Amino acid sequence: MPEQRSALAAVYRPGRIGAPEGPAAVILSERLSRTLVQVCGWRDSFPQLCRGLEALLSCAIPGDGLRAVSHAGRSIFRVGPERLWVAGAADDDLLRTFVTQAPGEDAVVTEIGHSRTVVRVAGAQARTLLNRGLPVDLDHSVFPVDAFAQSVIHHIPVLVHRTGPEGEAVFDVYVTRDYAVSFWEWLTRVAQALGGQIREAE
Amino acid sequence: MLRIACPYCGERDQVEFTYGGDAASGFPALADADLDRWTDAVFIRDNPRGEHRELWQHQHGCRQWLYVVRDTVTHAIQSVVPARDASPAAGADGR
Ligand SMILES: [Zn+2]
Repeated sequence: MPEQRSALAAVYRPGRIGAPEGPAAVILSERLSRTLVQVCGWRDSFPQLCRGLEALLSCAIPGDGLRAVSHAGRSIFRVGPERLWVAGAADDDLLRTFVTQAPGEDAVVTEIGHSRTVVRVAGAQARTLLNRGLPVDLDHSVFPVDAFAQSVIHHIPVLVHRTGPEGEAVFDVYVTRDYAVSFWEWLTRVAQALGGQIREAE
Repeated sequence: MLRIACPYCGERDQVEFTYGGDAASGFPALADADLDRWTDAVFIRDNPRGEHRELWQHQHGCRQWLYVVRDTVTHAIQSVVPARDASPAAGADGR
């Protein structure tokens, strides 16, 4: 099997950015070994489809576009009224099987992992960094763990998800692959002013 | 800057939305070839002072079309409902 190639391959350089010493205010890393599956349905049959998914994934399916449900290494986002994203590890056998099985006429299941670049933004100033471009309040009181928002940064469509652990600022940003380099340029340029570190891709 | 309360995503900045035009004006039937009626429908707008029914798409959010009632003087937004739940001859609440 050919390996997935990062959209950031040509511009991704691990190391310090901005301040050369002291604690890194922001820590950036690409999350490479991920898979993303989109499940779309129709209004009438969507509740029934969700019940089936609940049994398959052994967890609740989110009812709104504000909070994701994270369980067993997967995160489920309701990105539209009848549209879900399920993010998981690249070697998630259940998700891989799910994509290849015929889902019937009530669902359209599409593997879209290669269409998105996932960048993790962490550190004490992670929120400051993202809010230089993101018009969404990321304060913990209104944007707790598993809160997510589809929005726009630097004119680039993004989905921002606050992951755990509780009490730390860790955000996964899903960017369309064709804008990944532009987003990365914006992110690293703003991060330079705050002082940070780019880690090896996970 | 408007803040629009998307029924799916919550209150968000205008930059995430695209204006989709006047929601109150309908179009003639496709079989209707009358040029004046089509010119009216495509180009002529009322530009009211006060309540205005309009379509917005939450383009960078949930991608859904929304039916918004907005005051053109104060910019105050009275209601936002999914466009698919609003009928063309809808009242102020879109239903
Ligand atoms: Zn929305």
